[in-house]
This record gives sequence, structure tokens and C-alpha cells, in this order.
Amino acid sequence: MKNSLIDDEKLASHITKIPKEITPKRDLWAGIEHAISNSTQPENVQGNKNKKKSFHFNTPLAWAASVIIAVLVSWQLNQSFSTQNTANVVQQNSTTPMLGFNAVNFIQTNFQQQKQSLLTSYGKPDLTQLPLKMQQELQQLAKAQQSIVKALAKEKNNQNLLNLLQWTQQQELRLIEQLYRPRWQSI
Amino acid sequence: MTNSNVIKATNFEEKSAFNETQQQNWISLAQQGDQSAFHQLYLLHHKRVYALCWRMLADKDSAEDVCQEVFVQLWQKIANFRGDSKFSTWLHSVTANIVLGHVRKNKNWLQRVFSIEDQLVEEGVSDTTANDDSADLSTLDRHIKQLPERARIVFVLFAVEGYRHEEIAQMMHMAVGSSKSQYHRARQLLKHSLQSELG
Repeated sequence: MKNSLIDDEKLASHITKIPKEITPKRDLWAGIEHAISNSTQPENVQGNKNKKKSFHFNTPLAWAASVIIAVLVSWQLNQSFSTQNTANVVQQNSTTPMLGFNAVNFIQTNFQQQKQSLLTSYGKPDLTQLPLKMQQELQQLAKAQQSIVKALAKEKNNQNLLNLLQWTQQQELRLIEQLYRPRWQSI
Repeated sequence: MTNSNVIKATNFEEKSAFNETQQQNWISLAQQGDQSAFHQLYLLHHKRVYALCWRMLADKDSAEDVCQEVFVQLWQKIANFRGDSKFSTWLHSVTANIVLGHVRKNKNWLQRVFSIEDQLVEEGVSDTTANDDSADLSTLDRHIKQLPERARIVFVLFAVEGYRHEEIAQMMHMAVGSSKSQYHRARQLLKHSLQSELG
């Protein structure tokens, strides 16, 4: 610090002497009075106080309710979409009790179409000419599918059974594909 | 500076021969929409509020406008006052925040982006006394007026109003260290300018 500077005590002395008030040169109240006369006092009435308290009290509840509703709606939609995707059913006019039955029929029909299409692409081979082991595997898959379909007749909307049915059908299609897929041979 | 040199905002009430009960009565009436009671509160506090506005803004016209804005907002917010602190303390806090909002609002985009308000103020120090009521001001006020904006506001809030650096930093959206350095800067500048004047 330079020697020419006044010291801290002198500055402190000036600070303590500083006036607490300064009078404005013009009357400020007229403008204030005009402004407050033309404006409401939204937070001054007791009723508004209660209203505000009520708002604060209800805000968390409203948020909680919104979150719960959003979760429920999302879950419901998710369930709905999941069922539709699994079953590949887009039958909007079907009634709820028929949904599972129609889904099984649709899955079965779709599977048969895919299977026929696949076999056709391989020249409609005779499956009975396959090795015995392969035939047994195909038969086991077919039996499994039949069992699942029977179970679905009792529990039409059982999601796990529907998934299992689709899985066994995919296994059968994959096996056929492996058996008859043309393979390039190196010369 | 020692704490004893810090002027607390609440000293105003202690010095005034004012009846606390009467003020509480006016507050209650104003909270119910009584404008005459609110006018009494204005008469009691407006000079102190104006002083704070003036010192923070260093401009008479802006201080008058903001002082009016403070009381208009006070009218709208007075129901929020629950008596947890002294009314004057609460009012000065409201005032300081309104002034800071005014300062932020009146910065141009260049000042906001590059934070160059201090440099501009420093360059224009000699011009600020031209059209004001500096003759009526105390010696220190005339020198506070010439401080750069941030240093001035920090100095006024800390040394005159008694805020802590932590509070100032929060109000001004700056680091505590910045508040302290601005205060130190303000003190150095005041010492220089006072020395120049007093010889």
C-alpha cells in the first residue's frame, strides 16, 4: 500500500459517518400510489393466503397423482403393445375374451404360411425322407406346439404360453431351413 | 475493517423514535389492503430504501425509479412478511434484490457476454458527477458513486448494509472470493480517491 493512502481507520470513520438516509429530490409517493391503486394486491387478502397455502399443500399431491397416473397409463399401454406385438394381432374390433383365441389362431395361421413358403422355396421336399433323428425332432416340436395350443385354450391370454408357442414354431422353421438350405461347395 | 464499523440495517429502527407496535399495526393493515397504513410505512422507510438504491445504482433518476418499484412490489408482497425477521431487514433485502435485478436487466448484451461493465464504469468515472446531486452527498457517498459497479455494490452491501460475503455472493451470483476481492478493490479505490480530495 502506498504511503499516500489514508489508513483503514480513516476510511472506517467515513463509513460510520455515512448518513443512513437520503431524501429523494422529488415526491415518489404519488407514482407509487397511482401504481398500487391500479393494481391488485394478490397476496394481501387472507383468503388468498389460504388459497396459496392450499396450492402449496396440494402441489406435491398433484405431482404425485400425475406421476402415478403417468406410470399406470404407460404400464397399461406397454402391456397392450407387448401383447399385440407378441401375437401379431391387429384386430381392433375383437372383444377381450376372444383376444387370446384369435391370437393363437393368428399365430398358427402365420406359422403355417411361413412353413409352406419355406418348403416351397426348397422345392416342396418330402419330410418323411429325412433321417429318422430329424423326423423325431420335428415331431417333438409339433407335439410341443399342440400341447401349448391346448393349454392356451384354457388360458387364452397367457403371455408366456403365447411366447412359448412362437418360440417352438421358430425352432421348427429354423430346423427346416438348416436341413434344406442350399450350400455352396468349393470345387 | 472491524465488525463495529459495519452499520447494521436494523440500526435504523433503533435510532428512530418509532413504536414497533405501531409499525406492526400498519403492516397488518397494509396486508389487508389499507393504503393509508402502507403510506405510513412508506414515510417511515422510504429515505433508507432510497439511500440503498442510490448507493447501489449511483444514479439519482434510476434510484428514484427503483425506489418506487420497491414500494410497488412491497405492496404486492407484503403479505409474505410473517415477522420472522425485522420488517426493515426484510425490506432492505427485498430492495437489494430489486436493485440487482434492475442492474442485470439494464446491461446490454456486450456487457453480459464479456462482463465489461466495470471497465466501462471506470472509464466513465469522471463523467458521472455531471448531472447529479453530488453537492448534497456526504464525502464518502461522492466517492462511492465513482466506484466501478460491482465493487460499489459489494462495498455498499458489506460495509454499509452489513451483509456477509456469502450472502452477497449468493445475491450477485458470484463466488465468495470474488465478493471479497471486489470489496478489497473498492476499499483501495476509496482510499486513493479520498486521499486525493483530503490531501
